[in-house]
Amino acid sequence: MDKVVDVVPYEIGMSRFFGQTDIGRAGLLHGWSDPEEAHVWNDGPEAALRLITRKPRTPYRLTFEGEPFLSKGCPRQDMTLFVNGLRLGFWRLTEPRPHTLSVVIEPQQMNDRNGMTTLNLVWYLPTSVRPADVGLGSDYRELGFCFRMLTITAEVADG
Amino acid sequence: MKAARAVRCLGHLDVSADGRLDGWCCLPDQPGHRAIVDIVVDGQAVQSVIATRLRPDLRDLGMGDGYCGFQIPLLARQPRTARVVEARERSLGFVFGRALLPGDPVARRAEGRLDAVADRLAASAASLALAYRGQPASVAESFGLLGPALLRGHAAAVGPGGTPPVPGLAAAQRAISRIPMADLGQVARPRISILGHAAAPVDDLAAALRQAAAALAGLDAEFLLLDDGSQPLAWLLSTRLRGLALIRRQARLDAGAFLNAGLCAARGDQLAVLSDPTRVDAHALAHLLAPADPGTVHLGATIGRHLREAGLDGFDEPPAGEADVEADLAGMACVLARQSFHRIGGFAERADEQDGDVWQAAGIWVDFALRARALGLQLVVWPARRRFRESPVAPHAAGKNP
Repeated sequence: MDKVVDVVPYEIGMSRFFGQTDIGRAGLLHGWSDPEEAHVWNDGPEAALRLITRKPRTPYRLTFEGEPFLSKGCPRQDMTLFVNGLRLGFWRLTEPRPHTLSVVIEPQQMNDRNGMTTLNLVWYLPTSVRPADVGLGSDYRELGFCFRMLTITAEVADG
Repeated sequence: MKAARAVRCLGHLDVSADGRLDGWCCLPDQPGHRAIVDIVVDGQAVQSVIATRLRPDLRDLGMGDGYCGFQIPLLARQPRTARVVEARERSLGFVFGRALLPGDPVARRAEGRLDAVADRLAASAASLALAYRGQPASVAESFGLLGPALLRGHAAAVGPGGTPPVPGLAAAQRAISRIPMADLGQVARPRISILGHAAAPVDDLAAALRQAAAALAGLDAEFLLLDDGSQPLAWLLSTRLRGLALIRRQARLDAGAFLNAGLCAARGDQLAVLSDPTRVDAHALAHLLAPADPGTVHLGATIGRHLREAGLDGFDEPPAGEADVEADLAGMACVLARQSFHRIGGFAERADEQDGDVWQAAGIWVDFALRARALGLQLVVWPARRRFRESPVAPHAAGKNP
């Protein structure tokens, strides 16, 4: 599924849910599996999402939740998050449980236009594997992280 | 005022004393749809949740498969001064629940400042018909929208011993369906809040609210209805009038707490409290509300009578204006700026009149007026009837309420 569908309009403070329930395919630029009911997996080493929100006056905190794909043949997942081309976070995930991960985005790291700002998020997951390659069924997608939710909040009170 | 076709979203929000949010939300047209609920504090989204928690009680009522509840702790990142929390269904942008956050009720906020004018108040205290004792309980639980009302109606329909009482949910729905559906409008940041009392028959109430919505269309108004149970069908009005917020009076709330609950839930900069919306001419109300004057508190004729009976006088009369239309203001209780309400400190709670009618509870109104006067606010007492010019905001909407 490598098709640009849309951007995700985003109101600061609310959470957007990956999967058919909310985001669906909107804003999923490339590197994603088909959205399932309440989550979506990456498919390949790079998954990109574009969303648009209002121009910030303060730093934003971007938080996302999900679970890494781990197995005997894949004991860890490395994840790097790039926002508008800037490397803002790195995590090494070794526990098969839900994780809540976050980064702070400074106003100068955002692209403003007409009072709105576009955020191009790219998760780099070089340790993604095909379940079929590690003896787990016949799934040939390259899985690294199961994305469930994304939240952006003002880091300090935003007016 | 736009015509509404059907109720597309049902739900309810409650806040427990420890700040936990409990509620449910479903879209009757899409029973399998999982609603996404955004929690909005003082107009700003602070978190979101998918309403997927099983609510067997709602399943038994036919609300889809019953997986439409939610229960979340309120995060600590809302503003310190936050008072009102709302639940908004995302796909429709429909606010289905509103409640007060736990904390000090407004009636206590002014206590320290009022000490500074204690001497002036003391001079008037002898004439007060109440003893203001403070320490009011949280009023967060006083709110309810359609959700609990439906449950209450369902319970009533079953009744003890299998005896179906009247009216019951089905009968109530049949009765309420006579009322044409209408959209009172939803304003993200209302400038004016109209707080009415559900005292008149629901048909008259609905007509009055529709007319008021038309007359105030240019003023970003929101509408709230205080339901003390005197009109058995009032709790269903919000199914016919989209955008109407219903505030139920719970038994433990005294008159002052009930008024405070309603006024705290209102978000407008200007507040109009109507003891009977069917007896207030909408375009006359627009005249009172359009100029924002935080230094003036307008009181209705009934409240003026309370003040006179308490031996108080010297209140101002309304300014003489051009007179084109005879307007009814008998149902107006009070019009004031929100900041004045907070300065005054709200209405005294737990006063002597525990169970009295809100509008006949003279003590809380006398106390309110005295505190306002002590703070230097101008008090204007309006007569029950008054001549006005045509409406400054919507001349086409001028006319008498039914």
